[in-house]
Amino acid sequence: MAWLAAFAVAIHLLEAALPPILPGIKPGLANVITVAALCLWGWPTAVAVTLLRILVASILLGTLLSPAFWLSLGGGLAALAAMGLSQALPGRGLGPVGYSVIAAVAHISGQLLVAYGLFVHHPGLFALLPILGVGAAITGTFNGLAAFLLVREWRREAPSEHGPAGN
Amino acid sequence: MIRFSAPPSEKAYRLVLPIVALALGACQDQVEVHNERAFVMGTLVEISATGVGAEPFREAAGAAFLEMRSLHDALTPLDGESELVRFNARGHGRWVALEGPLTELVPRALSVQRASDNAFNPHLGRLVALWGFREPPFPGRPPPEKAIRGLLEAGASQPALALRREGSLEGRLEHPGATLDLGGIAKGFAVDRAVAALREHGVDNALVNAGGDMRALGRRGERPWRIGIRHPRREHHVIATVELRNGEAMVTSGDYERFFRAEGKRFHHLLDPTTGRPARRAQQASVLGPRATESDAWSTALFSKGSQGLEALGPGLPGLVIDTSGKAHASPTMRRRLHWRSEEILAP
Amino acid sequence: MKGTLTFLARATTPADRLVLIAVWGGMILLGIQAFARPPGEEAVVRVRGEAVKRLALDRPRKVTIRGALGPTELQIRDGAIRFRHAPCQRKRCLGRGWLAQAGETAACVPNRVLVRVGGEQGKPWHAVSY
Repeated sequence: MAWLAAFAVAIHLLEAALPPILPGIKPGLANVITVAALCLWGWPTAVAVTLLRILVASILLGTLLSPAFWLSLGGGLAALAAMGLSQALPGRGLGPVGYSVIAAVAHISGQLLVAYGLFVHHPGLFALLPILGVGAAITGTFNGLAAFLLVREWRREAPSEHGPAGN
Repeated sequence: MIRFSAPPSEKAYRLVLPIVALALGACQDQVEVHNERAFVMGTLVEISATGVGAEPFREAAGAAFLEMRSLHDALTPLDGESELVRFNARGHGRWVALEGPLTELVPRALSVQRASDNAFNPHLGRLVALWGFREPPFPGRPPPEKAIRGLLEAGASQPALALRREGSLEGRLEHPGATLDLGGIAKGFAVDRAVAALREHGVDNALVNAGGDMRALGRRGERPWRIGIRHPRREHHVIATVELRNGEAMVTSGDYERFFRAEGKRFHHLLDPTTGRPARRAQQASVLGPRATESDAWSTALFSKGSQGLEALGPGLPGLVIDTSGKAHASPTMRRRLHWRSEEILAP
Repeated sequence: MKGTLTFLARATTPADRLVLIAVWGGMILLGIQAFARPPGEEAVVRVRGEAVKRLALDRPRKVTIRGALGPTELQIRDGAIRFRHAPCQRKRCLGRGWLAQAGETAACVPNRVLVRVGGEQGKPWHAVSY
């Protein structure tokens, strides 16, 4: 799990260094790791990896306890909560793509709520929702496909002892 | 009731005519307007112009933005290299030469401070920093009572800046609680400088809009530049419109620009010099005038004083105040200029 | 193209596909709504050719206008406006129904009341001071 988190931190840092495609929209590639962890080792692992990633990445970026950190944390927690809830769905359940899309939407909702609650206090903020939402749908889908490939690869290499969760 | 394809009756005709006139009016509105935008002085600045070629306009707007940027660099309290910070760094009780744009702006700020009876105060630097309103994110809770009182006792809010001309212009801060902060006048000054730069580049019809603080040159095609005044509590609503004459400026100060909420109250960036706390007599104040610099400072003063402050403006600076209950008050000269359009806020 | 589709089909469970449809559909709808109805759309009411009221269409309510024949009631809902009661004889203004699109017009001729919906372009100002 430590190397999973390290991997996620690396992606997080890389993304922070890259220029954004559009202001406010980031691909959120580190979520690929979270989703893969969820599918392979279950929700607790996904939670641990995400929290570790946010903490370590913000320490390394020097953004600990800054607005960027709270936004990251708010989005991350919302995404984890949404994924945890959707695991309870009946039937064959969701795969990486479904989790990733749900996580992306929850992520922006969480970030918007944190931004509204802590920093902006202006309902005009929610006018951003459609743009961010479309961004989340796109990045969520592509990250989900990436997570699918990753899960397939890892499962082939090292069959999990715990058995795959949610799939 | 008619559909306008139906043969018009005589009465309908009278109704149709104004519509046709309106439509023609709308056609005449097809003026070529050039726009340039830039993020300067912490806000979006938009320059629009008519009656000028696209290329010369771009050059002129570029010069205007450059001017505004250099002013920002000189007047920002956030950069250790700015002339303002350097002035403040010399402390109180000694004469310090004013440099760069401070030589022009400080005397103008002081004269509004005097005329407004200290309702506009250009040296609340330490109070503004204490409240955390210099840049977002804002703190989320007011500073401790004791800290505010401490600064007030240290002379933060009384008139505390003396000027003398000893070869060059020099200023002296009289109290340790006071440092220069031109946040209530700098944007207006920058708008005036931008307008001057446009004029030098041969642009005679333009509107400079720095985050809602604006000044007009000439006209927009056949018509004057017409601006709306926003509703203090409903962002996309306009309560009244005003037509700006050549060279005229309009600046509005509102409690919705920089604020946070705590304890169920709104804490905003327009501090009342007498209390050291956000002024509580208005939601919004607008001042029309021949220069954006003075309109900016006076709109801050008017916000602080509320509707009683209208008289101090005099007839040359029409003013409009929305008080805390959402009621509009306007000076007589402003009343003549306003085209009222709000339902919720009654015309003054 | 076909390869992409089979890949997509293999990569997703039925539940995934449901989520994809729901989220993409929702976001597209949200986007359309945001662009289709810019905030601050309004209607101008004229009596005898003179603009007497500007009504923002973002808040449901009823407004009474004094027409040439007497009080005339307008209703606003969901970004649209209509005549609700009019003192004229033939009541054809009531039959005109809801107006929502910029430029749409209804008139009660005997009563000399005209309602015209204005959109973004119809804004009678060039900038807003705030």
